[in-house]
Amino acid sequence: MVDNNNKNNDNNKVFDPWGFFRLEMAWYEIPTSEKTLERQEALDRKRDRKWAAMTHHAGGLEVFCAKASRKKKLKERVRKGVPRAWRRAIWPALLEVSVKPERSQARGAASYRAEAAREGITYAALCKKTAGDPPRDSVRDVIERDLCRTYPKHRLFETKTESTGVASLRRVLRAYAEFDPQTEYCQGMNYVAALLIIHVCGEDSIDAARRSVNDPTRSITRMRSREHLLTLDGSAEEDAFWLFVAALKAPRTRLRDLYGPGMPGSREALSVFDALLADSHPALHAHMRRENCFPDMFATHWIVTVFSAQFPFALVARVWDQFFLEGWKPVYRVAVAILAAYEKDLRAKDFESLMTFLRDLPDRVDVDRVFSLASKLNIKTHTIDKLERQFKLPPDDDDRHHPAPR
Amino acid sequence: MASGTGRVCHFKLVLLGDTAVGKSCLVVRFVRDEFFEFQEPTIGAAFLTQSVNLENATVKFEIWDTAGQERYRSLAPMYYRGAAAAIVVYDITNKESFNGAKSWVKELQRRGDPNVVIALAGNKADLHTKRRVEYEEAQKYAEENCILHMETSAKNATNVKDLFREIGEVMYVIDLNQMSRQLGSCPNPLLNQKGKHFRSYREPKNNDNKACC
Ligand SMILES: Nc1nc2c(ncn2[C@@H]2O[C@H](COP(=O)(O)OP(=O)(O)OP(=O)(O)O)[C@@H](O)[C@H]2O)c(=O)[nH]1
Ligand SMILES: [Mg+2]
Repeated sequence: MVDNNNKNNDNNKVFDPWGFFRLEMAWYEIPTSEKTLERQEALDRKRDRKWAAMTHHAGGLEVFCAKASRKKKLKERVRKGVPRAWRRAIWPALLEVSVKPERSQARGAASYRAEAAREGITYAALCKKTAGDPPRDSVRDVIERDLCRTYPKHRLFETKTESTGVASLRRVLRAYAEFDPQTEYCQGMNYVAALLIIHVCGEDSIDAARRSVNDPTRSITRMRSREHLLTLDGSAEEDAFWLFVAALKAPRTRLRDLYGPGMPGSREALSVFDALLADSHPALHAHMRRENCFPDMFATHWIVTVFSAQFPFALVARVWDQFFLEGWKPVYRVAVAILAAYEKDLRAKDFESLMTFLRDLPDRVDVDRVFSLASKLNIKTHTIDKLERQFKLPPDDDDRHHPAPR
Repeated sequence: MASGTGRVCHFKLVLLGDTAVGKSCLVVRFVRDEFFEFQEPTIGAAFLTQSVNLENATVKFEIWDTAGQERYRSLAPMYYRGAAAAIVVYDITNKESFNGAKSWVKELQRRGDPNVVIALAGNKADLHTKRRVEYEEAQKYAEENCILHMETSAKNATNVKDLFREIGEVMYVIDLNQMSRQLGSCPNPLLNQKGKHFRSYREPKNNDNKACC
């Protein structure tokens, strides 16, 4: 599993600006997602100052947002996308900003960390307790099998040595399984934890380079050179862990509900998505039904990992910006918008072509179009609440309610 | 391409088995003839199709590759329900995964389609030095349960095509059987050859790997 040889080849490798390794083509040659990124970066430069003002506001975001008008401003800015360099600071802060629906009351990483500390639980202690080789067929063994299989093409995860993302991911997932024995570990959590490690611990030297160079062609050469790539800041790992805890447990994001035995929360969320699609795009929904194509069949990973397993980071990061501030509504909005963006194609397809198209969609999704459609969707919080109540499953229910595909 | 003249039969096939035994790798080998050392875990299920050309027909598989972790087990019924064939995979280097496979077979027998054709695949046969499940043990179990059994390697492609072809042949025979029953005609001669044994097993072909048996 340990592979030291990778390091030597680094010079020949090309990483895209998100840190993913590309073999076939130079990163600037392709997908919409990366073109989007370039445009995004130009925008980011403009937004940097605004975000600096907000985050460095005395008392933090929460105080900045004390006025309702400012809260609205924050929401607008988050929907446009948090600048990349700011995510590390902003993501934990967003979770602490209180927003309207009571249910999605604010509770953030700091609060969970403090609560644990009062019970004498620290990240260091959790790590210490779970160090060493895992016993065969324990949950740690399952975790171990997934470490090298998580973002295997990402720069922080492609080398399997210590001091890489893989080692951080191992500690974070093991510590969580120890911290929350009811949830322990469910596949899907690996992507969420890795996503947070990348954004919280990834030291993005591209950003520094980018700021100093305005000419886009120069910044491309710079980004491709070795010293301007993502590195891991190990000291931030503990922050990533508590943000992970908060993402799982906070009333706003409550990912933990997805992962428990029987995964009732995942199935509920898929039903809610299905109902929202029926509501907003009845013809498309009816067509997919007729073809026996249900969200469970293609969107399970969308929901269980909040898009982080297969979609381009240009989409993932923006979904998570909104997820931390607004909870599930923007997630559903994006899920519906992804289908809406391809409605015409989808409605012309039979079962097999639908399934194939949807399987391959993450690789070529038009990120701009999805967010532009998502922003126009009118999905109400109370509708989501109603649907969530309607589809509520008892924990560890079995499969009785499930339609069989074909 | 010489064949595939006659009919095209469509079948739903599901892959079941513990996490990381190599279900996705087997499908990727079969469908795209590729292998990835770091195949990402399957969240939910993945849908793929691939055809096998037989002498008189083409069998087209609609394949559901499922998630293996225990946690996802409650989602599995929707994929195996209505499946005409199932490949239950274990990892020959992991004893626990063989127990897992047995429980999947049991679940299929109890709750799957009554006529589902089950194949047991002992994957990672290339890792024979780390073997924990003997070929004979699995073979005996397969015989007792009247299911196909083969050892495979997604990594070096051993027996992967053969496994799907074998299942395809069985499916084709069953299909003919059903047709002739519907038409009220005499059973096809092919049935006499294979039909009776459609739930039997087969020694791994192509077995240059001594430790395999
Ligand atoms: N040596 C060897 N390794 C294999 C073989 N097949 C799979 N693997 C390894 O086993 C790991 C898991 O394979 P997957 O195909 O992802 O396993 P899976 O059963 O689909 O796992 P889940 O999706 O988590 O249920 C891969 O990363 C491969 O490295 C094989 O035939 N030989
Ligand atoms: Mg898999």
